[in-house]
Amino acid sequence: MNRAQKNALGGLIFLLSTFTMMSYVFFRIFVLKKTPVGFAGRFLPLAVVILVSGTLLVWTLKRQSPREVKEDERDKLIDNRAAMAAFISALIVFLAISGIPRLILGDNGCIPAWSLPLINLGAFIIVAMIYFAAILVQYFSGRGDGDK
Amino acid sequence: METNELKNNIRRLRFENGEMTQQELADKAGVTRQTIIAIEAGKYSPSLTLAFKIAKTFGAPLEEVFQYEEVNS
Repeated sequence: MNRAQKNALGGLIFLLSTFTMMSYVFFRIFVLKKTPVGFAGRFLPLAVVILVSGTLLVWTLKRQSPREVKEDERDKLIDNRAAMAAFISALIVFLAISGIPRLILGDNGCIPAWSLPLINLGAFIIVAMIYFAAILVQYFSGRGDGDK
Repeated sequence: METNELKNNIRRLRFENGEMTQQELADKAGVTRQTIIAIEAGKYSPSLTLAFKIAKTFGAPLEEVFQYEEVNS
């Protein structure tokens, strides 16, 4: 794996773990109405995210070769296409988060205020995950059986 | 229908040049190993600059490394 692939995979895993922990915390506090108790209860989700991101950081910084280049012309091309895919998906996600609540709740429905940051952050995470996934898909589809 | 294909002899040239690894070629051409793999497999067409860099690494003319073919299907 080159650096761009590692960054994309690392970013995907980081976002997934962050989103999972964030959803758990929001669900526990605002839906179950249970405030985390004790040091472990309060900081365990944060510790998981720090542990995951630290491991990923060490992994992504490890070089393939002492003369390894950070980015080449193919990486830039792949990155541009992934950014375009993310931009289009951002428009779709924006339309979805604007329209779906109205379809579910009706014209005069309401949602709790705490869910708004979660929805926005969730939308951002989805778009970022699409960006990283688009990078990985392009590398995977262009991969041959190479030797080292 | 006519399609264009860019064929290459990178694999053969690597072995003829002291069994050069993909990583060594990548380092000399200033790209990642994945890019060399994709070019060798015909899944990525390099820019002219990169094509010339690869040819220069082998000390061979560009036409010996890359061949352009029009295929009728």
